Amino acid sequence: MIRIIGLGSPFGDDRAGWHLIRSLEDWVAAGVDAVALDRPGAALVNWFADVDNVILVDAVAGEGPPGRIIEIDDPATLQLAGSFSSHQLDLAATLKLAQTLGTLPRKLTLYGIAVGQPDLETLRDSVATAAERLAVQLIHQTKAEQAAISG
Amino acid sequence: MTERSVSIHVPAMTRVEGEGALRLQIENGDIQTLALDIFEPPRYFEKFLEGRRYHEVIDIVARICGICPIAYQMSAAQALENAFGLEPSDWVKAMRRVFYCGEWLQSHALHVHLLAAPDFLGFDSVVGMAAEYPDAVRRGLQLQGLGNDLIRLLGGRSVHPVGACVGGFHRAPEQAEVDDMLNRLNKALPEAETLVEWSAGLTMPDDPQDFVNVSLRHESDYPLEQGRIVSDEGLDITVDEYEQHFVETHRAQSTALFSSLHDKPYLVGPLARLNLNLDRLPTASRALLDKTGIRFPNRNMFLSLFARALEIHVAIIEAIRLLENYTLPDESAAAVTPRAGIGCGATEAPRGLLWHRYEVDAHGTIRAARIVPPTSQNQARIEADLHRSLVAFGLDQSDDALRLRAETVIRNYDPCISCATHFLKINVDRR
Repeated sequence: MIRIIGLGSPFGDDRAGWHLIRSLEDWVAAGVDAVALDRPGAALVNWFADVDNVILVDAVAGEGPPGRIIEIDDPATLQLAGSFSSHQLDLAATLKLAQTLGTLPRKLTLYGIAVGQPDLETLRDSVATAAERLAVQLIHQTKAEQAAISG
Repeated sequence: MTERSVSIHVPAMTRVEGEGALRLQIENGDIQTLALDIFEPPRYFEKFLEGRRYHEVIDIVARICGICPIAYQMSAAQALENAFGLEPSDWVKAMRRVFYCGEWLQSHALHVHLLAAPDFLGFDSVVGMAAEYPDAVRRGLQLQGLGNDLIRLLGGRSVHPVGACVGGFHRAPEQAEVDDMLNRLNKALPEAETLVEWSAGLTMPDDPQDFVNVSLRHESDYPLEQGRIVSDEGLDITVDEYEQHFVETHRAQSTALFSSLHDKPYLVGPLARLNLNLDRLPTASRALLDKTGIRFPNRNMFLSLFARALEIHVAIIEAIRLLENYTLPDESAAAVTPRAGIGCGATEAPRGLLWHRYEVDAHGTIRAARIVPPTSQNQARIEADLHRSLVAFGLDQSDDALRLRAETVIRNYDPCISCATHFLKINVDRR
């Protein structure tokens, strides 16, 4: 089972991950699950259960011009700027927690969609287009991975 | 004992909800200064609400807190309905309680497992604790996730939910959604039972304190979304009478507001609720409590963690009870006819009593708003607890040990300023 998780919030460019999931809606494939999550914090760990391949997609502030795609294939080693927040764990701490609990999926990939200086009012076209482009890439990628498994 | 001067000053707490500071000065073995200052921005939200229509209030107040938005929504809805003379339907009342159970479940599960338990098990964070107590952490995450999904069932989403409105809900869940949730709640019940037993076994400092408990009290149910305001010193008032007994005051050099009841600090939150409402526990929760052998009312503040664990059980039991009788309503919300008036509302946020008051004109426009959150009500109590706990702990302890104990005491209240790991920096001034 492959699970594609779009992380985000309702705020402008932070919806990039959700926009990607929406772009995948018309493409339903057996063995692939696509979910949009609203700032799940540590509860993200629960979404790793029963899947062996997880693809995380999230907006990334900074990291180049809006629309740039960043791929991190070992996100459990991430060192993010934020640390423990008041009530929630950030993504790096959450992945570290999953690693400690032994619940990291066999394969975990993080795609960051660069948003530069984020626009928190509107999802900008450059960011939305990048999310749609990444959605197409993930469709091809997951098809190929499934073909390799069954083939 | 070596005489020394210790000054612990935290100019701004990091990784906390809001801004705050702790000032602690110990001179020759005595506390000279102890002040927890919460620099809440002056209540902009109360001003934001002025001039807004009544139906905008529910979504605006949800933004005050990312962890307990439902508490703000439910207190506001109750206050506005009281102002309009609107009585919600039995279906709405039941579903509001279910909605609120979701918030208690996610907030308490997060606090017990991720924020407070590491203090009592000797870890600096949940990541460290997970290596030794993986089952407990997994359980916490699953219960938190279940709470989020229960919120989503009625609120559309778990963070700042949008499903509630004055009069009820924008949408009623389909029976199939409710059945699925019921199934998951029933499966989680044994986990909640295990959690209560596990929490009862944690080693806590034992230092009974004298404090006034305040909470809602309902005629038949464990307090959550409605009731009278009571204390263990004989207070028994309607929510409309709150301002006649409770006072908020400013303190110099701080924007924080300190609440008092008849000029005394008081406690709100899970321990106060449990202390005042033992006879309102669901039968199964009461039996579980009795089995642990821990007696309530109890004056050990650190048993707040246990009270939260028991309230997780209460929330699941109550959600199951109410959803088992679920039927699709003809209308998920009552029609609202605004009228000029003043309405008050009070509910039990995970952290304690949350009181709202709105003055509304004939068009349903907000003319004045007042919101008293649980954290400001607990602030004077936290200071008194810090003073007492640090003296009991021993002021000759090392600076690191004092800091950790102070953090543990503050986190124990799950304050909304709040609860992060290691938010106290320490500067020691030895003279």
